[in-house]
Amino acid sequence: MSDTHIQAGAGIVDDATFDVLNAIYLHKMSTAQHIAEVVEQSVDDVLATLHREEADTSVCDVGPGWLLETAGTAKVLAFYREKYAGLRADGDIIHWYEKFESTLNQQFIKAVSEWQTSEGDGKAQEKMVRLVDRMIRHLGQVTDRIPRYRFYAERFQRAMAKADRGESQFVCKPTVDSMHNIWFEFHEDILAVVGRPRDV
Amino acid sequence: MSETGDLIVTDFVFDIEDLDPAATSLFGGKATGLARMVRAGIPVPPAFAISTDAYRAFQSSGQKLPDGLAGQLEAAIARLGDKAGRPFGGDGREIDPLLVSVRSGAKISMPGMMDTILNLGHTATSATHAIARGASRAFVVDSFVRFWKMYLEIVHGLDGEEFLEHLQTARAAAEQEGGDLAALEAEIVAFATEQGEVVPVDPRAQLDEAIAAVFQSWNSPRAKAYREHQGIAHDLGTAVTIQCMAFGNAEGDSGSGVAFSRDPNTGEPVLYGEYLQGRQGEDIVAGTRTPVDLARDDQGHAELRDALDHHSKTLESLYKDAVDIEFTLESGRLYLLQVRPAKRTAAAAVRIAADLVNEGLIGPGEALGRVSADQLKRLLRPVFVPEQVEACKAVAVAVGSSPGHATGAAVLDSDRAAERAATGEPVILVRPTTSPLDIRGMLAANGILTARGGALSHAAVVSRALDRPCVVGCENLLVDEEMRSFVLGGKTFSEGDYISIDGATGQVYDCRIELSAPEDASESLENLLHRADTVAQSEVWTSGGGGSSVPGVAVVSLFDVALGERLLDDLIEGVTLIGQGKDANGRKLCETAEAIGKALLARHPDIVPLHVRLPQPGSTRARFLVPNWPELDQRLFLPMGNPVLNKAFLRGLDAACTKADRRLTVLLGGVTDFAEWFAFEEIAGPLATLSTGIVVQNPAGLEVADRIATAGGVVWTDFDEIVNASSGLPQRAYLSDATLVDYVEHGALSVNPRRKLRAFLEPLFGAAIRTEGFVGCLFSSDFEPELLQQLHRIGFRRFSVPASRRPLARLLLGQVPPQG
Repeated sequence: MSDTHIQAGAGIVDDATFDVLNAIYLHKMSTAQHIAEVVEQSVDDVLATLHREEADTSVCDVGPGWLLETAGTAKVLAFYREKYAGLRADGDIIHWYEKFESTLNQQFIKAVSEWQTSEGDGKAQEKMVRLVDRMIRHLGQVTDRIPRYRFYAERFQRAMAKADRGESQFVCKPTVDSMHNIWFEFHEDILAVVGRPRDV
Repeated sequence: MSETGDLIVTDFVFDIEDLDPAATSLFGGKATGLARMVRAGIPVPPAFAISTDAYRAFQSSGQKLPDGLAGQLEAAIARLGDKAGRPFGGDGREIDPLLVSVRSGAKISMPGMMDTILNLGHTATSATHAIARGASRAFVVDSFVRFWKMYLEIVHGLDGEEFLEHLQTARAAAEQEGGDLAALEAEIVAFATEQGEVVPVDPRAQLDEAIAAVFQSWNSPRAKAYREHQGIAHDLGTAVTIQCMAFGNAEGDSGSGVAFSRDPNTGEPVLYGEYLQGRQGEDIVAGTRTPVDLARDDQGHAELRDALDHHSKTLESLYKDAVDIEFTLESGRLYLLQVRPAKRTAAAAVRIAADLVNEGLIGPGEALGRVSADQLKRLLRPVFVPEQVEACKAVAVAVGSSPGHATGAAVLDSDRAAERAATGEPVILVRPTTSPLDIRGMLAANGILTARGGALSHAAVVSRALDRPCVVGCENLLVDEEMRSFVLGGKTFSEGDYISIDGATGQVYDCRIELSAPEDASESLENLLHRADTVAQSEVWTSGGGGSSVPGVAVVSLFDVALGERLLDDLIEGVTLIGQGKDANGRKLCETAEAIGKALLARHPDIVPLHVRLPQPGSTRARFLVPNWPELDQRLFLPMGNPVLNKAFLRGLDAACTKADRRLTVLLGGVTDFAEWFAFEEIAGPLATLSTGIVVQNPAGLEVADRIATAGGVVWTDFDEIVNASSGLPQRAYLSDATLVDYVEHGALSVNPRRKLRAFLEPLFGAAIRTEGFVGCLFSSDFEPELLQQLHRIGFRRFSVPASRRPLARLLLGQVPPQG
């Protein structure tokens, strides 16, 4: 294991490495291109991290994308556990999360479902976009504590602009970086941060 | 412009009945739409519009409402109040105040523009009066708070949910008997002030702010980004429409509802919808009153039904489409509040499009644009073979959350599901619940079944997005991931056992049920697609099957027929004997060809043109199948290299045709020269039942296609083969689309040659159809919609596709915009 990418004392990977591994963890299988886009690193940097982690049997290249090995998943989970222990104890983030879960998240899932069952009705889409707009503001309340959450805000902005232009796959298609896809990845992320299991 | 003394004042405000319905730049789409309806005699609530001139004046005067607007606004509001019989702001009198809606309205609608504000005009005083006159307190408080939520969200950018949370206590107090609405209003103002917003409680001031907010929303980042991307001028500006709110809860004969000009489920041309009588808000909340079904004539309200029917016909001729209408009856007076092209199911979309053409409301070209490829796909989605469903047992019924039928091996883990599906086996992913980590398995699976969750669960939402059948919340499903087994409806299954699910009804079956194309594509669909053929001036053949409207069958591979009839060994033997010089007359092959021909004609009993391709001993497939292939006579690998081969084949097929009194067109593959076809035609000439042609399989063949067609030969250009040959790619059987797509996605190729026509090929395809003769384009497995349309634009009018894709091909061809 390469020491330089382990944070001193904590025994966890550094932020940049975590960002790369976490992108795969949330996306299940990712291309270097996708990772670079969502974590705002260059493709070369991402590939360097991936190759280093491959040597450490944390990830493997299966052709159409990169997968996490057991060791890689363990690194991701350890980071969540250790890095955010202080935040969890402090309680603020829990409160923020609970509010997200009970308001924005429920409204958003309902809006997505309405959009789908209305076969892409413009009104339903507007509702979703407005919720995403609110979500971006909501994220702004915690980026001082979890700086990488600004990546989600950026991704939401990009997906929103594309959906506005009529590229409707950016509303909720799971195979592109759609608003819904970003939302789900974020949801998985915040659950891991606050240490809660996922409901259905 | 109007002159007031020396001062020239621009006219900013126009009553709806006075404005020019064609002036969309000045008044936007909403106001001109209303104006058109007023002129057609449709009863809409009184309204006026503020023109985009006011927007421009607003911008140039530093984001302030322009001079002269205030006076015009006052006058227009007073006119609205007169028409509605209610004064704006309540006027301090104890009667219902005039409430208005405020909407943005640009010539082109765009994202990021201000939402509609409803019920502007409410005050604590007028609300208190309403309660005093007997209105339900809960309802009045609810409308009041709703207005404020909308107003604070839209005009002041505050968080509406936070507002509602903050207001809980004050609201509860106001809802108590004798509760004070002024105190509630004060609490609302306090909330806004706390967040740094100054909010007026006077409706007149609120109206000014709402108008300014519409103008400002034109420059919201979302709207700006959209205009820049679409190349829309930034100075186009937006208008504002201000309209009376109608009261479905007024005294007397009042109520509200939704009507459709045609049944949105079936498309049947009958009035459809619901009407809820009386104080609608309260009743909807309490669920105490059942709505009236407008489709039935036994529930009274004949006058209302007649009026709606009449207006919906007028609106259909205005919109040239089926419409849905939101309406309100206010003390016996009918108002149409909102009219839109109606939402409809896929089946209704087809029926309505076909009917509108028959009624002369739209042309066939326009009708075809009204049905989307997705709707057609939904309509033609494969379904369970009905007899097999009867033989199966439904072991559970849960929540059907993404429609469609699916059958497959139950797999309990997403990675294993992906692996198993990669081998070509159909898979149903069975999970206690799904999360984003299951996406790989969900993509690979034919269907998804979960034990927990409802219609809003991850599994349901993602399945709908992926268009995969899905059943969720199956309570009697118990998954044991460790043992790789599950219990369903009391029965234990092992991973790999077949199950079937119906994503619409939520039924889960304990066995495999085959899927097939839905039996009756409706009459309307055939009618519409027939028009598509006419509009596109094209005909779409299939490689077999597809119903009675198929104009012909092409191209059937005789090799495949031999394979299916267990005649392959005979075929190989016949070819090998010729190749080794042991059967100079090709007797063995001739016999085999007759047997193949007989089977072929039995397989395709419909008397339509039938085009077949001769086996090619030089093909990759033959190389794998023929023992000692390298030792064969090499002349066999050229289209006309060994004349014995083709003679034997043609004689055998002729014999089969003669006995069945049928005709065949026999195609020679791999041709690159006119002389090759000519030699082939010379052999077939004396055989009365046969015609000849070629299958073009490479770019060189495209070059000679027109000459052969002009001389009377049939030409099918095999798109896949030409692309593979020109790009040096193996055939699909040896290089799957998925592998190629991955390769392209990794950036190794900038375009997928199977999906997009390379520039150098376009003129070659173009040259091939410069003839009056028969030239068609063959897609033997699938096609990209854009590619098909591109080939039509190049000039192709005859295509052949797999039967299951034929309806889509016909629709897409009908949707190609006419040229020139």
